[in-house]
Amino acid sequence: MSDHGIRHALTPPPTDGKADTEADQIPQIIILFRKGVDLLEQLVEQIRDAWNHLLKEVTAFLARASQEVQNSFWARVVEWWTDEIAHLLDEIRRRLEEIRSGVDRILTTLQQAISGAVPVGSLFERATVYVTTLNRELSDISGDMSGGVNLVYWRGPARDSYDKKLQDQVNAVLNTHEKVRNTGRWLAAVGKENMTYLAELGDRVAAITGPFVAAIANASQATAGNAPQALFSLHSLSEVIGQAAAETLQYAINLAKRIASVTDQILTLQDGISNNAGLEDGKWPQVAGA
Amino acid sequence: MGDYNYYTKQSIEVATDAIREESKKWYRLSDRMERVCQTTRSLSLELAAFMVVDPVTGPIAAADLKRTYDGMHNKLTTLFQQATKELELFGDALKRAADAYERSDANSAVNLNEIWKGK
Repeated sequence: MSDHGIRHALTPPPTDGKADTEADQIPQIIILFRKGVDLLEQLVEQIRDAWNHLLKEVTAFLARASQEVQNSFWARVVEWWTDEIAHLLDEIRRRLEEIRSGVDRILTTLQQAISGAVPVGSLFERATVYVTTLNRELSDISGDMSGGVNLVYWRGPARDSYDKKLQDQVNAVLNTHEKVRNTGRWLAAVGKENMTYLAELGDRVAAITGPFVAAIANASQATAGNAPQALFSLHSLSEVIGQAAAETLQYAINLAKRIASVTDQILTLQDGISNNAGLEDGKWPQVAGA
Repeated sequence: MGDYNYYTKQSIEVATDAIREESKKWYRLSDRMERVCQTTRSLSLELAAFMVVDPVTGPIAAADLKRTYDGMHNKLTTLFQQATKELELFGDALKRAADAYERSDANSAVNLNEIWKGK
């Protein structure tokens, strides 16, 4: 997986803030979101396979190296050589444990993101209903409220009063229509932030597959004689894994911060709740009212 | 146009039919609003729906989002519930208006209180 490949593939379409774009955009975002989850599932498999492969190769190397030491002429005549190799092998075992710990943390993060994606999927479904079904129905209802042609024959104070009350009802529908559109837009924005997180996470974790391959290759070819090279390779991998594990945790914190900082959108929605234009003290205008 | 007599028997009949049709329209609108209400009511969201991250890092921001969403969701559900009732009352009021219009003539006053409040 190339650098930034996942993030690029999952880049949400740009939003121009227009109300009528969400209905088109959300289905596309849902597809990308599912694609992001699929990619994370693939990464889990790849990392798990790579880890198992590395473990197998390093274990084989350790056994091979021990055997070499026992059979070596140098081991019999030069004690420091044996000590040096033993020290290197111990260091390799320690590095392997560090890698195991980092891999565990990364796999846990990936799996949590995958499981967490299921309920977030419902957020996208809700957003879709707001910007399609409800948006359309409220638009139709306010359009259908206007009076029939033959009402022109109805004259007098009751008719004047009816026209006013009808407009009150239309205004109330317009108020809720705006609320519905804003809610759908807001939910879509929250969903996009989650998708960005999946993309960041995927990109970061995909970047560790290269060092894994190198470490596996080195371990499979290593002998006691070039144990330092195998150790160096594992040392590098351990650092890469450790950094990736720390950063994936940071991404989760970033997501929480980013979503919390979508302040203007939260405020827009909160303003929308208290926007009573077209309503009567926050309630639907009453037919029996003044 | 100013000479047209809106209070001839024929005009009143046409107007009364139109008002009764209008009444039916508001009943249909009420039915549609009820479906809008039911759809909206079904759109509740759990805390976990707002963030994919695990609960250790996510709850604070997610709780804010849920609280905001719940506020809007409740508001809309309540408004649509009220709307369903009011649109139906509109239909009722128009039926009464049609009755009153049939009874009225050019010189009789229509009792608005009776039409809108049903009293």
